[in-house]
Amino acid sequence: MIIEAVTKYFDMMIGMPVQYEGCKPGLGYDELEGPPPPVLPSRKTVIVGMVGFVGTMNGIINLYLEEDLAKKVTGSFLGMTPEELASEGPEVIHDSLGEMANMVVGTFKNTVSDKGFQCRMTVPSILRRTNFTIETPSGVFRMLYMFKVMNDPFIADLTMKPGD
Amino acid sequence: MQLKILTVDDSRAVRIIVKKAFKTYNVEILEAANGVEGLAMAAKQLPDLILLDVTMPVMDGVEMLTKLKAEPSLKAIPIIMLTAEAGREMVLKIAKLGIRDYIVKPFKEDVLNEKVGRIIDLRPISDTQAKRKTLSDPCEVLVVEDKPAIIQQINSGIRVPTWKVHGVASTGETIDYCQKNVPDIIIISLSLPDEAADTLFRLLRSNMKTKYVPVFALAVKTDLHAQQQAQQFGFTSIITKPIDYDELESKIAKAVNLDTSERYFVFDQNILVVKIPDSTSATVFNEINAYLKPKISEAVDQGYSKVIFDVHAAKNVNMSLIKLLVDAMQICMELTLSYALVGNPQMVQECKGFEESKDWKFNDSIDAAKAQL
Repeated sequence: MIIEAVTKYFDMMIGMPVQYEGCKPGLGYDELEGPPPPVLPSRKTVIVGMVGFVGTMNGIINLYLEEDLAKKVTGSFLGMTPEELASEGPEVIHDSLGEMANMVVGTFKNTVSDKGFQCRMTVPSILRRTNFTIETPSGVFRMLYMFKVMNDPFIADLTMKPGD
Repeated sequence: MQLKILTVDDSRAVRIIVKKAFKTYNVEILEAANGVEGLAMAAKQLPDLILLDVTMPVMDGVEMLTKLKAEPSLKAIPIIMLTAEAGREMVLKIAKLGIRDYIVKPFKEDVLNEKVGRIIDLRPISDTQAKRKTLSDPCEVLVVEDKPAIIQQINSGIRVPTWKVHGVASTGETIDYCQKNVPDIIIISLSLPDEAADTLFRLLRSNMKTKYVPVFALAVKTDLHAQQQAQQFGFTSIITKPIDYDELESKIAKAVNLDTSERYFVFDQNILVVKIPDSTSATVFNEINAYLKPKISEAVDQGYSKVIFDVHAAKNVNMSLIKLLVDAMQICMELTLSYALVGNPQMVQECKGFEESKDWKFNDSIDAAKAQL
């Protein structure tokens, strides 16, 4: 469902091909001896778009990409040149990545809802840093889905567990 | 008159995309970032269509939709939900509140254009760049109605001398007529037998000659079911019987993008006179409101510094009239124009009953207002 959601977003809104490269389980902090490695190891600034879903299934999807790709994706999303984008400031990039997360998570959540797990989405958040990781407790389902967009890495990090 | 689409979405990116999607069409895109702003904008601008998101801070799309449907002056505005929330239950819940369509994000731009184009008359900018027609240009109104008395009524009710009304009684006659002359506007009676109105509407929309001709539905005021169906079908507008001819003329003018400002704005020597008609219909006030800022700005551009608001024809005073005048005075103050009011004794008295207008000073004639200025 995640792969379909990411592919649909890039196909419909960006017009860029996206390649799925495989997935691996994300480890909770109880399963690691030392600090966990960054999800997207990079010396460049990494931006994460985050949207959660709450209901009979709870979870969050974090979408990781480097700043350079974020600019390219935003430019295609909004039909803006790099110069126009630069004049708008970083806010428009953050807003676009928030909307990207909203659309990807929306597609995923709608399928989950149609399977009988009613949930609602949260408003998007953005995280922008270098060399960081987001940890999750053990006992929840966590999977990292790796993609390539124009040879740059793009990672969808899904964490979820059934609601009460 | 340019059509208006209001996009209500907390994401600026989505609002930019909506703007981009319609940049080649003759529409004005209005923006709001949440339900509260959206309601205020809808009440002020009366858009022709609203694109509404669901998940938003402050007030979400479901609450805004509920409030819009509860407000008599706004409930007829067609709404398309444009949202990532598309679980079956959510769609059913929203559909029950009365929306025209649902677009799930992510979406293709042409899907957005197509769905909006089914509801409002989207025209490319190139089609509308030619000089705007005015009330003195001819306009042909084709009425499809099997009762000759109604056609006769419309013919006598329309007061613009350059508008010609032609009546036909059936689908066949309409098609034959449109092969020879393409009318500026078509009014179809929903009481034609055998659901002929729906069939005819579809035929007109599938014919290249009439594809972009605005088509109004004519329905009995109390037949809400027929009106709702016509709205869902995509008729440009609905006219109800008994017909309010101020409203009909105003809707025709808007649909054919006619400049009707000469009715209300007169450039008299060095003074702009704004003539408020006797009608108290919201449609007429909205029409005047749409011209207000551009016409007063035009006056300033041409060196005018004085404005007279001539309200003596008004039969009674209501909040729409007061709001219109408050807005107009505000524009004058912003542009440092001096202004004066002309009223009749009855309305002068009625104005004293409203907080906003209790201190207004009226003159009893244009000459007296000129002298005051």
